[in-house]
Amino acid sequence: MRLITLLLCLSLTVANGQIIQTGLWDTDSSSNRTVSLHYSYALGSASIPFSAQRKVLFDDFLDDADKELFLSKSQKNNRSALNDLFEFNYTYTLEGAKAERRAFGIHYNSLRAVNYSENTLKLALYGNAPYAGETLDLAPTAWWRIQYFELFYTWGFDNDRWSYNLTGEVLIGLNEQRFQADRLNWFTPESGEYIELDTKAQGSLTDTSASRNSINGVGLGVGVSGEYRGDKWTFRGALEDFGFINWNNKTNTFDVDTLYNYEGLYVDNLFDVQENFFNDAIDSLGQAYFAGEEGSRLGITPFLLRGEAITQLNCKTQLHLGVQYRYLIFNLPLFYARADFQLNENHRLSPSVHYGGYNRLGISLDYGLTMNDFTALVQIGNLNSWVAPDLSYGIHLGLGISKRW
Amino acid sequence: MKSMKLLTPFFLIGILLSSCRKDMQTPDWDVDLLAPILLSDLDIGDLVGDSNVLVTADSSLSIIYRSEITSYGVPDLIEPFTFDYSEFLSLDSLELEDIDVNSSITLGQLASDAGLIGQIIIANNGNTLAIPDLGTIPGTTNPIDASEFFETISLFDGTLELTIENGLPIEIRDFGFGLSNASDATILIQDTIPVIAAGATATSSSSLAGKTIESLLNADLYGLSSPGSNGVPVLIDTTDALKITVTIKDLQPSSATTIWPAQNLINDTSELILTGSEGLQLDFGIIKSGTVVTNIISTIEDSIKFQYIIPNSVLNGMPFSIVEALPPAPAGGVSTTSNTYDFSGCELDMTGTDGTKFNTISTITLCRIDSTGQIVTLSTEDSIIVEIEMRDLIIDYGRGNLGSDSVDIGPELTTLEGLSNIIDGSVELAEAKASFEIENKIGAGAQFDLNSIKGTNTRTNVNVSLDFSSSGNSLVVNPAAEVPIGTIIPEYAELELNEANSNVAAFLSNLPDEIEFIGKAYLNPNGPHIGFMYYDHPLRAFLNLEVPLHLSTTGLTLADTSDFDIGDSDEWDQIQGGSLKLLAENGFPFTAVASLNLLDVDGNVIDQIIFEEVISSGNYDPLQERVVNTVKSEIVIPLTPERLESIKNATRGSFKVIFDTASQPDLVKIYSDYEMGLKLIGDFTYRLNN
Repeated sequence: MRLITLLLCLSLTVANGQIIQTGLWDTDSSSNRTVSLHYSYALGSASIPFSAQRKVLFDDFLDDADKELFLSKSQKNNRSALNDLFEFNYTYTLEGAKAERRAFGIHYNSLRAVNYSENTLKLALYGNAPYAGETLDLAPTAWWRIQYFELFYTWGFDNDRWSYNLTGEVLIGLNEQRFQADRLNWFTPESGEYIELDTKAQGSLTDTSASRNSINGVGLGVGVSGEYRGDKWTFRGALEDFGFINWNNKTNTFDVDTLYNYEGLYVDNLFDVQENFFNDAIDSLGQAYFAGEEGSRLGITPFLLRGEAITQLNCKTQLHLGVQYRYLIFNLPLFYARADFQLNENHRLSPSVHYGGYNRLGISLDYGLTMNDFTALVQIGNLNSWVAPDLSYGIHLGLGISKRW
Repeated sequence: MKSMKLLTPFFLIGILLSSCRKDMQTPDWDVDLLAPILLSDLDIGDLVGDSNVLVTADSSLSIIYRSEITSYGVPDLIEPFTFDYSEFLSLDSLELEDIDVNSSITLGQLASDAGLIGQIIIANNGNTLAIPDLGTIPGTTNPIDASEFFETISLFDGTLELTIENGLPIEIRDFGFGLSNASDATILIQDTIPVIAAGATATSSSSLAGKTIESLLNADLYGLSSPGSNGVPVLIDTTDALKITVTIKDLQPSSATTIWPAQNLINDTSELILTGSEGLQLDFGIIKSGTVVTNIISTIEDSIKFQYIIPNSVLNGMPFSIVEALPPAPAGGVSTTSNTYDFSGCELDMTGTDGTKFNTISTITLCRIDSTGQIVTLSTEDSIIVEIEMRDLIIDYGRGNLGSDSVDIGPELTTLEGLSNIIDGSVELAEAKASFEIENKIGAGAQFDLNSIKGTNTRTNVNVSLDFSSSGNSLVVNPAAEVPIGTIIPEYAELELNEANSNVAAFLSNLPDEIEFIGKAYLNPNGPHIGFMYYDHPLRAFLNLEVPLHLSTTGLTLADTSDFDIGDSDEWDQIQGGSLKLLAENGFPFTAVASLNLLDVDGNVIDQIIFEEVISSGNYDPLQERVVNTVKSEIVIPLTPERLESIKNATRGSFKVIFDTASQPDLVKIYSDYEMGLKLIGDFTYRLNN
């Protein structure tokens, strides 16, 4: 039942992220108008096996075996991430205009990436008591979480050999959390009298009192892509989602380089404790550590840089060789090779093999169905995660539909 | 900040996991936490109140309680007073300026009515001619328009003066004239002047009492005659004239529609008497707070400037003055204005208008109209109602004869902070003493009679009264001085109570936390005295208690009445088991046992967490008679499922510490550096719930 629920959930929240992205450059330029919807979801880690990640998805409670599974393949620097993106695109042609191809639409981007050391994972899973008397080096520890909308408009230009697209974007920021510790040493004496954090860290939080979907920033972005069509090979390159968001003046920014010693909530007079001291005691550490300055902050968006080379192997088969990199999200650049097999007039199958991103080696399969000007696309990434979950590091799923005229 | 709960790594991993499952519950897991929760220092000041502790020369401590048991000052002598002033003021002295209207009759006009001789005169205009007798010349009527000055004026009294300047070269005889209103021919003046020689001026006056003058008048010339130039040739100039000037003066109008000159309609001087100050004869005062409320009503159809002045006062460097402008009242209606003014800080001379009175404030009320150039109707029937209320005036400073007074005081109750924390046990006091002290900051002598001082231990309901039979029960204090003005030099009087002249040791051994005082105060018991008083500086009476902490305690229990929330916390739900650890570093020469009672919503104890191990006393050196080293104790409180359930169900907690010096056979001193450091550490399995 739980598996069915999960699959249902995932199928309804199809996404992209580590997925080999399609996008506007895949739009069929022979049609006058195209409307497309696409949603993709991707979860992965550079070190934690999918079998352990699945515990988080399935289980209500992590027992010691689950914790051991998490730790079994952890490394000094572990990176995990999750993206989900939604796209609505409308493309059309404007005959006689200098830029004949035009497109507009809205994209929703939600990206999360976490760096953590093995010690961080130990501390998080077991607590500090087992490590009392030891200094735990928790660096590198970082996370970045950003959610925002893009409203874009694209002008497309073509000549015999070249095509290129210029995109302008208005960015609407929902929230951002970032933390980067260059030094984070944790020490608890065996008596438990204090907790010592030797840290050098920076970070920021957008308005935590605002509701989840409230707007906390606005910004501008650009995108540029180009295509060169040679005799045998076609080359593509693009910089997408590059922009800055000015987060509002309720953003808390901190930059600490300190040895922080926490001895508990100080009570001036035990005979005059008026408040709920337990909550206050727990909150006081976080408040002290994260106390920063409130004010607006200009933040960069996680842009995507990618390139691809395409050649027609025969009349039904195309080969794609490419590389993608998502700023601060990917562990490594994602290298891939994909073959498009046009099985017949309606069916297309695209297996691919890839390495990098925030997974490691993966095998994926895309299937496209075209009928009556409608095209449906189903993308299943990291098939190896389902058959060898202990050896693979993530999943990605995508679903799209388009209609052209 | 809830999202940043607990410690950074747990927050971090929470972020990761919550990223993974956004629509489903994330899993829980248990971690073993070892974390400090609370940190505190306990010194003697925490137990008895910091402000009550006195460090003596050898660094030992005494507890000093200085409790004000009563005070006597301005609020007792002068009640806040409110003064209402209302006056109906009519315009009984309207003033109008004199009005001059000019007219003339030329020689040409006279000659044209004088037949053939007149024609000869006209024909010789510019020549020299002996003018013959003109005989009688018939009268004429000339209109006079004075509408540029007024429309109508009704008079109680006034004078109309007619001046005739004979500019003709001939003598005029039997000059009969009159002045009448053009509308109904009402005659205002009528007279005949027998002779006006050539070049001479004649004047005729008439009373206008009870008359009404209109702006359109007729100047009536009933007739005149002239003997001519008596055969003497004269230069004929037909523009030569009899110049007539009508002057309306000394006007006392009952009503008028006219252009009114600037004038004070009301100018009233009054005196306010300070009430509620029987026995006091103040000649100067400063107001602490209070307001002046004005309400002005006018029927006058002209703009009114109202001014209320207290001439012998100073507020912000100037005499207190209110200026208000009233717009013109509509015809048949009224114009009103109401305002409130802050009177705080006003310095008042209270000697009245002539400077010989007391408690008396001189005031001036003015109502004025300014000349606007517009024709306006005013009448003595018009009126102004002035309502002034001085509301809730409180004297901040008063100077004068403060008189004599007496007042019964009490019963008044005072809580002894600090001693109320001692809820059980007994104290052996050494060298305890008490005193009754009067601090006088009033410029008047006083006497205090102590009828009763009773101390009650409200935990035991035992009370002990101080016995004054040997010490006497009356104190006299001299008047305070004020040199220079504004600087008070207080006077003090003290009645010391010790074991020799009172039962003070028994009084203090009862550990009273509530004092009841009954007495009587006399102001200037030797008769009236010229002095001063400040609102914030009354005469105050204190009970001083000094308890040297050179004591032995047996099961002395100190507790606080303020409870704190312990069970209403989500965090307790996350604790799966473990223990709380209390680390105590004791520098007192007492052992101690602390307890925490868990209370339900009705205040009932549902669990008592008694630390089973005693907190050891500090290392006491009998030779130095002081603690030389602190001693650490660790007390573990298991968090059993039953106790956790009690904690979750508790709504309040009450903390208590019991000290015991049974291990010290002798009296020990308490020093200022004695303290107990306390740390509460959690060592438990905590369920992270994301």
